[in-house]
Amino acid sequence: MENDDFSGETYGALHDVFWCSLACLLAAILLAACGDDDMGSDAAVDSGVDAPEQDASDLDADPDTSPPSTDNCSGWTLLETMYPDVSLDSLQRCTSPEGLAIEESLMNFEGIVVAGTIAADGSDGATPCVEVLCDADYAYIASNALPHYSPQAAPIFETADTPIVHRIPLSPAPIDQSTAADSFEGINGCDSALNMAVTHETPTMPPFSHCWYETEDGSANTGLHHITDGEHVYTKIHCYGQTAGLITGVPAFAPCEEARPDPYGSPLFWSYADPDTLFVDYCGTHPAAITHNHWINEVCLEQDENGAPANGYATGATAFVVEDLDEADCESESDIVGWSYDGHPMRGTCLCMARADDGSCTDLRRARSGYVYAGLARWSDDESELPNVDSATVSASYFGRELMECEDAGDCCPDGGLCRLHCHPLLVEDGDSVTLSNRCVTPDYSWCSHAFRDHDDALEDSGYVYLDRCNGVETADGYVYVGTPTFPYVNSCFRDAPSETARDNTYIYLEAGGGGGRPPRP
Amino acid sequence: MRRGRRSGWLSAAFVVGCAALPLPELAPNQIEYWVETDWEGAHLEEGVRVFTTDLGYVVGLESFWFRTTSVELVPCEDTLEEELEEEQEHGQANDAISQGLRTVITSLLPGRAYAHGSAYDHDISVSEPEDFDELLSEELHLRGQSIALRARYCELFSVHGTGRDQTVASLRGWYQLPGSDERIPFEAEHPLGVTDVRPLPVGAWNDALLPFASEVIVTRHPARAFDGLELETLPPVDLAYEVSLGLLRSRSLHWSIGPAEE
Repeated sequence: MENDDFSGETYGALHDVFWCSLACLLAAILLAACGDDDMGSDAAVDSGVDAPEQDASDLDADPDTSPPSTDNCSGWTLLETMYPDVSLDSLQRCTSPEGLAIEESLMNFEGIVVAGTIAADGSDGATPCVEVLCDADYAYIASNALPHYSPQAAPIFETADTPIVHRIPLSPAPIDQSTAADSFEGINGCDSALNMAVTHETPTMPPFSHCWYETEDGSANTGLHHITDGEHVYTKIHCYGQTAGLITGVPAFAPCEEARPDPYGSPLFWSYADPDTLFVDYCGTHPAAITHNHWINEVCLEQDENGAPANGYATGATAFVVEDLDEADCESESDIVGWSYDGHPMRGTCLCMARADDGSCTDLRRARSGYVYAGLARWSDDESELPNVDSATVSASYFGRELMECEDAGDCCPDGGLCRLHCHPLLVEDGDSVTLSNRCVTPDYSWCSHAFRDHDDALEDSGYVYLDRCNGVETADGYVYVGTPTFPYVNSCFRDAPSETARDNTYIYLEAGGGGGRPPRP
Repeated sequence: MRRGRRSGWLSAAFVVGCAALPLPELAPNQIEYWVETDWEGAHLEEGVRVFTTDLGYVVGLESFWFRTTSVELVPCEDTLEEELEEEQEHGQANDAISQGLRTVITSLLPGRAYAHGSAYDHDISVSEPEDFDELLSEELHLRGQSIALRARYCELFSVHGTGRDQTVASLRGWYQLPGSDERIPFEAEHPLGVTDVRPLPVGAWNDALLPFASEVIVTRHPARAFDGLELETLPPVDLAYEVSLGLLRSRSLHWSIGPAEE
């Protein structure tokens, strides 16, 4: 087991923070404007950020580095708990181009009160908040993790004000390539996943090692913190947990749920198949211990000229059509929708791959995930000692219809009974090419049911650009991650060195409903 | 039609059955779900319900359909644990019975939410009418019957989903901006599920009901469902969706229970 030097023992303290948040706020608000103008940092990696333009008058004037009031956003109450090396009075307004780019990207929630959400004081109707302050190396995005609408996921949990601070490196720094790493190609455990899936057994922890998970008592984990494809060492994301801070301040979570209801699988399949399940809403959001996004819906995150939400939930939700989001018909560049913990932005699916001298985009493409659905049944093994993974047993189970073309769920599960297949549109291999197709697919063990397909040329298909293992790509403006409508939906690893937020497990073990100090819904 | 109600206030929690009864005697109790529409604040003009919102819009509703796919009671927190602890304290159930009962009850009744990503498990009290309600009418409609086994219920949970025609709510009418006489027509519907959890208020005794039989009446106030909305800013799909949320937020609940003894 690898030692973890920041394994996030903060969840216990988090509860305390909630209960005393008001007192903490009163004590912590007075910020000293320390005037440290040494905000530059060594940009080791192209950050993929277009800094906001500054005119001459901006540059001549003394920048206002005095921090804004932080008493209206509960996220700040957690700053020093999550990052003991930082204090609120050491932070300032962001003045570097990278910090300003983050600040400019964030949603403006001014004047918005969302009925049906629980405010920090327990009252009905919370105001979402997302604010940023910087030090020399990082931007700190504080939020109460609420979108601009009340998520209509079934009320398993309250949608409650829940503090979080995302720590974003201002300048992405490379990972030490000599770091010990697991191998993407040598992943163990997918046969075990298949074995459990055949009999619908609920796992106790992820059986594979594509991602990072450690039991609460630290007695078991999914291997090393890093993973390699043989050419590059990446940092693993959580198997279930935050991977990025969205422009709303709501965290993007890993492409998977946890052991239930679909073991380490995407909740998208189920939600898409039956909109009345209301497990995750069509903006990709659902409440839990902290409200989070499992996928990205650009329309829900679109901003008006003032940075405020441009669309209501219904307009955003009805725009989430997987087939439409895979069409090679981009007409304008996607905006930044979030910030990964290694400092790179996350965008929607329309990317500019080349620019003319005047800055106009000359090659606008639809980003496609590099992962295809290859089937969980492909891990069947007649030589295995596991009882349910021989090809005869697998074929006789519902996996016998996996990857079949379909029109609806009835094609996948004609006989009822135990059948965990959905008819879902996703990317599959079709000979030498990749295509979007409706197939019978299992939502379980997404990392094992999908396979990364390496493209010799990411631009080989007209109108498309294929993403790398981390769901990112080098664009005309630098490296960006993409929120895709197919697996892995958000960043699936960190290309560069992430901040501590990437491994903080505060929200993984936090009891649901703790955010507002209220009990969970049944 | 609504039956007569002889009131007698109970505790704030909704009691189905009697928690003091020995657990083996917990028998299924009938629960009925009724819905009605209250048009207070509106007047009728040639079949159109006309009212003014809190922001000063005058709205005329020519039709308003709203679907309920499921409605159910939500057990109070820790109800099962409390019941078993009470039984053990009074020596009315030995460990074997308690364990057996626990197994039976947990197999029949909803599982609790897991810490993070769990589905919602319906309570045994669920009814799934899958019906549209036509809200221009003020009639009282029975929208489902079921049984309720838990000793204490605290909330009502409803899901308003799409059904076969992919529509949750559909409404047609017109509105006037504040201070304007111009009628702006609208026709709106949406396909997005909405949910509502609402605490049950203090209830009433009802001699017209069988012992331990209960009824819950959901009263909707469409004239308040448009409050807070700047109607001219909303695309039709958002209009229909926001009005649906407003309808749920503004609804009121009443419940009553039959006599505790024959």
